[in-house]
Amino acid sequence: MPPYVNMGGQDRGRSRDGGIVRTAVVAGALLAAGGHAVGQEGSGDRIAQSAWKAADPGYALSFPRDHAAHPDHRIEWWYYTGNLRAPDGRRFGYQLTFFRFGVDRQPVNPSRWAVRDLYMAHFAVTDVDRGAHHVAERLNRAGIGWAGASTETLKVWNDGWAVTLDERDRRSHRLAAASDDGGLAIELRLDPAAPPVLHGVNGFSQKGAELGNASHYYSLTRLRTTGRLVVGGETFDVEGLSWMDHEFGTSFLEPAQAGWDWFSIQLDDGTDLMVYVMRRIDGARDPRSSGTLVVPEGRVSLRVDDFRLTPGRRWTSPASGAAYPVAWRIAIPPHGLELEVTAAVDAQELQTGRSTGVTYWEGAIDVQGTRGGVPVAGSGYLEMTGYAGAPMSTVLR
Amino acid sequence: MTGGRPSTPDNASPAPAGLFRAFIARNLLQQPLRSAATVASLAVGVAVVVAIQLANASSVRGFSTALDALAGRTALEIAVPGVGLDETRLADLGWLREYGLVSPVIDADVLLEVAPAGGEPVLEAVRLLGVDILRDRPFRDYPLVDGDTPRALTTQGFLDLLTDAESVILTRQFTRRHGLEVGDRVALLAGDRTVPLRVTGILGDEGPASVLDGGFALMDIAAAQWAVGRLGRVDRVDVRLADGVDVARAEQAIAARLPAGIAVRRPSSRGAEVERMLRAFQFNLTALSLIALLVGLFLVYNTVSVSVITRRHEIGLLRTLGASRGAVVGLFLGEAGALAIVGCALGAPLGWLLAHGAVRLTSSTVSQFWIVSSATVPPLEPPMVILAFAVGLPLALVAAAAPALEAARLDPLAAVRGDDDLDARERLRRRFIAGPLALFAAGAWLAAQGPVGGLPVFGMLAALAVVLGAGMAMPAVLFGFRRACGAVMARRLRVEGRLAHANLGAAIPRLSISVAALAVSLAMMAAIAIMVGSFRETVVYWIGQTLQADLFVSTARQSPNADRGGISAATEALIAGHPAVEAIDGFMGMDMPYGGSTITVGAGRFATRLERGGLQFKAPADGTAAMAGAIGRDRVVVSEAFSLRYDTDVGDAIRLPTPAGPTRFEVSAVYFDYSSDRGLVVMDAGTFERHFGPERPSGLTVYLAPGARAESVRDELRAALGPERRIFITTNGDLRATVLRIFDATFAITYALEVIAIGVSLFGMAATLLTLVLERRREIALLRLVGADSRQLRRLIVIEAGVLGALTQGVGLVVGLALSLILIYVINVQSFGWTIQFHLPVGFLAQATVAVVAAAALAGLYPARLAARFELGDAAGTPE
Amino acid sequence: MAVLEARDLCRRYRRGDTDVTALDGVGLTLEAGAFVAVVGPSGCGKSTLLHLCGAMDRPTAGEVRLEGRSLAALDDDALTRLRRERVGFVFQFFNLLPTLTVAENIGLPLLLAGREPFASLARAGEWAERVGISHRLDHAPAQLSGGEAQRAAIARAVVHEPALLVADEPTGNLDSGNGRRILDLLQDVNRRSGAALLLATHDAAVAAAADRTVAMRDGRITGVESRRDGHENSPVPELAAAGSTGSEP
Repeated sequence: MPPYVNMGGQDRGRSRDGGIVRTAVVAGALLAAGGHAVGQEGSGDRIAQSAWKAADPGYALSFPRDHAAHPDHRIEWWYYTGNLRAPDGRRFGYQLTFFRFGVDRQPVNPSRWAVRDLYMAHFAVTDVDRGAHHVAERLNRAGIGWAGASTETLKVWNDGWAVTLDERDRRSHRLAAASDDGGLAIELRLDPAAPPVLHGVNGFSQKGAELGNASHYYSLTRLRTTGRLVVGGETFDVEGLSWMDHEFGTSFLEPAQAGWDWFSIQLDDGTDLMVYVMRRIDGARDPRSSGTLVVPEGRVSLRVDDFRLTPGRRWTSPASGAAYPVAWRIAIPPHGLELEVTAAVDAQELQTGRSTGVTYWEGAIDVQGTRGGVPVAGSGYLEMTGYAGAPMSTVLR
Repeated sequence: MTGGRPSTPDNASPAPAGLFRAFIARNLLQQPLRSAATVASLAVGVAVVVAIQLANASSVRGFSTALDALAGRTALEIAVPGVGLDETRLADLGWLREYGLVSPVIDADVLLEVAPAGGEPVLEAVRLLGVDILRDRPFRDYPLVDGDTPRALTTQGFLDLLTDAESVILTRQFTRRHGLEVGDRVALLAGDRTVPLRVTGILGDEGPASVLDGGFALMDIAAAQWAVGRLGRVDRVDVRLADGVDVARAEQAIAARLPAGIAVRRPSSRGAEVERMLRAFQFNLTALSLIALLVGLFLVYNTVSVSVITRRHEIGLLRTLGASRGAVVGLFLGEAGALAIVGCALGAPLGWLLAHGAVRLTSSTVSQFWIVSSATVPPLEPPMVILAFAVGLPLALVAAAAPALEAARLDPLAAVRGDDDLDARERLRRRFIAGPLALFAAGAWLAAQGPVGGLPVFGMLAALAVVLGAGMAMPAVLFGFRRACGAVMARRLRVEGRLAHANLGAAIPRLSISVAALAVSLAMMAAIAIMVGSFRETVVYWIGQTLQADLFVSTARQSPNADRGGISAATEALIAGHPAVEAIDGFMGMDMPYGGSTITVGAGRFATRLERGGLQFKAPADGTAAMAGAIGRDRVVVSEAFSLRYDTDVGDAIRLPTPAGPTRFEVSAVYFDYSSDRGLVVMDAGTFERHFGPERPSGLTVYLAPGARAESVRDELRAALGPERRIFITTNGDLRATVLRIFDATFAITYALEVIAIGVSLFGMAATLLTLVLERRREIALLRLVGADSRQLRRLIVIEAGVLGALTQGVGLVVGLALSLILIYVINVQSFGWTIQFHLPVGFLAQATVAVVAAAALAGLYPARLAARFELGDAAGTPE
Repeated sequence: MAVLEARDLCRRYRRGDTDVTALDGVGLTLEAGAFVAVVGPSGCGKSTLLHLCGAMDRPTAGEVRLEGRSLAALDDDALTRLRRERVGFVFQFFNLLPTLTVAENIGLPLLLAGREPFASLARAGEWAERVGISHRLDHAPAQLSGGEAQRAAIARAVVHEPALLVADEPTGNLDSGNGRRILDLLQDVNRRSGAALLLATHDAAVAAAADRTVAMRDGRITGVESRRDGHENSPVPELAAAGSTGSEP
């Protein structure tokens, strides 16, 4: 689950005094209030929020159709994370995320440059052995096709970065991204080892108290990954495991929801786990926190009472000043799961201050623990939002 | 006699500095009027040069700074020259990413209409930049402010602001000027449409907002495309190279990869084109400004001469006391130097002040014909001050050299005894005739030479030769005059006339210089008056031939730049639907780089034009048939300026950049055009559309049925179009008046410069008269002694002045006529490519003559008063 | 009636910070036809006295009457008119305007008085003949010898038949032969026109020709010597030392 959902918040608008868009909160949460919360003085009617389609509990996801874009929904992302190793054992984590934020479903201006959607992409590589974390980002409008997402098939791109479905096997995902100077790049092929895992109820994931505040959400939890990775100008052949999330909807969070802590974990016994806690502004854990456990026998939905996430050691970002828990304990008693989670590298914060103002922590993790008393180990990705900076809701309308 | 002046230098110290202080500095201070006059005229001369340089610099600088600020960190820009870029072709240019960042822009000159509460709407031209802020931020600085405090926004926040409905971001300067605040409404006038906008942000004075007097507007690229009617097209794509990429190499590499028709160039190349375009105009202004300086230098010569003449006795003493010839030369050069230093020191700031006026006068011309540029006078910086001194000081020393050498050549004993007075009856020497003749011959030869690099260098030299020749011919003219007019003056003007005639005859060597100075100024004035008058007549005739239509419809755009997408089809249909309208011709033009400069490529409906007439062809003989033959073919007609500048004639082929790459067009006719010197290439609308795609015309000419009243049709059309359609409908008569008004404004600076030169010359004339009077102190005293009363003296001196004025004006007219021929047939043709029919503005010249003679006579009044106060004892010769 | 009556003439100049007294209580009377020579060393005040008597300058104190009219009451232009009608001048140097012909120079007083040019020049011609330079009429002054120039000056000085002829060192710049001839000419004019001649000189021979000689020193008259040398009509010389300051020691 991507970070923008976490910034639950107050209201969004241009304050007359500072003129600064204060958005302590995820826009999705605002939208939850029914579309009218997005009001911008005088121009709210331009964005016909009601025209965006709300997540529909009756919608049945089908593949590969639903890998493609869903432009009737306002918010959509394709989220790839993974842990990779070079032949010499050097370890890397990577994150490549494509966002689409609907701005104006039917622009009046016939220009190709009229902003219907805003496309954002984040690309990060963690050089675990060196303790380094490299970030690049893209922010574009579709314009003449410099960014976009196909409604036909899995094909999302943003100014040279792209994820596509392999044209021959129609199965594997191709990821390509490179920083402007070429010093940071990936070119990966991801093979799904298992069918998509639908979260919530048939992929309908309730995020807030109101019915509309939900998303369609599925994951490919185990993608065998091979390819090349460039970091610091040095190229490595890499292989490992990736995780893909694809989520779309129109409104997600509610004002009281402040942020979240989200885990994706692949254990060496074949168990995959997605679990997140939504933190309320008062510090309490939101009842809509949930997860999905994928065991060889099948998938199990985790409800809020099924698991406990306990933060441990904190790392304070020198850049943002935010203190992120970089060690966690996950307990899922109904399934005999006890896991210790540690950040592979402490410093895996992403700051996108100039473009969107969003700051969050997203990074590779090591996992160790027991399942039914049997020791297990694995790796995964952790995302923590709502700890610092302007929330990502700036990019969300 | 009283002892006002020391009769000998009180301290003839051999030390040059002390000597200078005692002999020159003190004398200059004791002659405050003459010193001040010389310093002032020199200052004015220097000031005019500085002012013109500053004005020239500022019009280009205004444009270049604007260009720099607008380009920001753009290293290269990519477009089909003059046309822009079909935006769908951008997709094929993704590889540009390899070189750096890429940002497509809409760049247009538009009018903004601000309607203050309760006030009349105000129109102001602004440069509109439409950008994708998501891409453009690394290119340019857009410092949003809230009052005086910066307003930090994320890129996405900025995008929100720009994509807000009807959003436009204006500059602090502009909003303050018009009392606008965030949230206020303005209207953008594009073509014949009005686009309502709302101010959503204000930019502080950095980046593009810091130039053009704040005449800058920022919009989202989509909104800008829509507003200015350029959907589907961007004006160019800016490229910011990645760090460490060499511009030249990248330019080459990109040029090699671009498809045919699309070109890459540096933003500064547009500045170079503009500079080239303006060069002739500025060259001519500079030449004119030098005349004022020349006149100032004549005065320096004059002052030093006077100094030498009136102080021969003292010079003799100095020399007998042991001062060397070199010391004497040094003293008088020092005098000129001292005057020049003060003159230049005053001239530089004065020039800066004058530059404001000059900029006002020239920038309207520059904007009218070449570029929209808000020219502001740059601050007076050391280079300009240095220029002032570099121009003024050495020339002043050169001017002083002749009299200083004369001083050094004085026979000390004769000078002391005072019996070396000039031979009053100087004979006409051969060189007074041969010199001028040689110079006139040189002038004639020079006038026949071609331009140098598009500049009429030889033409200017020819003019200079004529001017110098005229100056040298002055003694001969004066001799001739003395010989011819003595009897007449004596008879008509009684004893004073006889005396004046005698005095003038005696003072010929001295007078020649100042008469020449004034004559040169007057000649330039006459030449310019003749040239402008001829030009005006030519334009009037041309208008009469060309402006045949009854109504002219144009958009609100005032820009000389590409006029595209102006009048909508709906508007044209509405006009065509009026019962009185018989035919409509449309015209549009766009700028295009050509041959290192900029030309306008336009389209008109040839068939209508041929049917209705109105082009004056220079070649071929049957221009109409040639034009008819251009329809449906890749043939064009070109303006005379184009033909001359690019040495292109009927039958030649030219290659124009089109979206499909350079395309060959054949020139079928050359026509006269005085609307622009930049060169016009016109093709039939059908041909244009085939190569450049469909365009709406920016102007329509409407032909009415016989008997229809243009005014009433205009009013009916206006009413039918309603206030939303922003178009201007002008009747034939109004347009003619407007053209002439613009024409006259164009030459305002020319006249201003000349008036200054004449003012300085009259000043010099007054100084000369004063000198003559001072020099003739004894003679005047003798005159009074033998019975000339003060009235007679005044008459005498005023007659002398008036006769001098008349003489100089006479010479000025003759030389002016010669100069005007050079201006019209050489300099103008070479600079601007215009054929001008010669025409003599008799009335103006007659008025000028009366004015000059009267002014000269008035200039004699002060010396006359002075003369009446001389001590009679002076006449008795030796002091008692 | 005396042509010239000067009484108690004082003339002081300001020279820098000090007052210079050029003339200090001098009186002089000339009857018509008189010939008075003023002698004395350089700077004794001769020229100043002549300037005051010739209406060229105004006294600091005292009075000058020309043919009975007091000059004190006249403004500059009136003085000018008086000079051009009643006074003639001859100086040591620079008597002629270099820009005019000899004829024009001689006729200048008539021309300035507004006489018809042709008549004026004809009259100038007559006088040129009398002084013996008629062959020089159309020449420029610069072409004349010193003696010729002085003769032309004398012609100019008398062409308008003045009552008083003022001559300041008229022979000072000439060799003795020429000087003699000029003096003769002046005397001849004096005799024939009846104009009173007031002549300053430091040449004893010249002074000896006068009816009366006034000696000056330091701005005062130091002696007067009258003689009759056979001019029957000569008026009786009279010393007019009327002022209280007394010009005679």
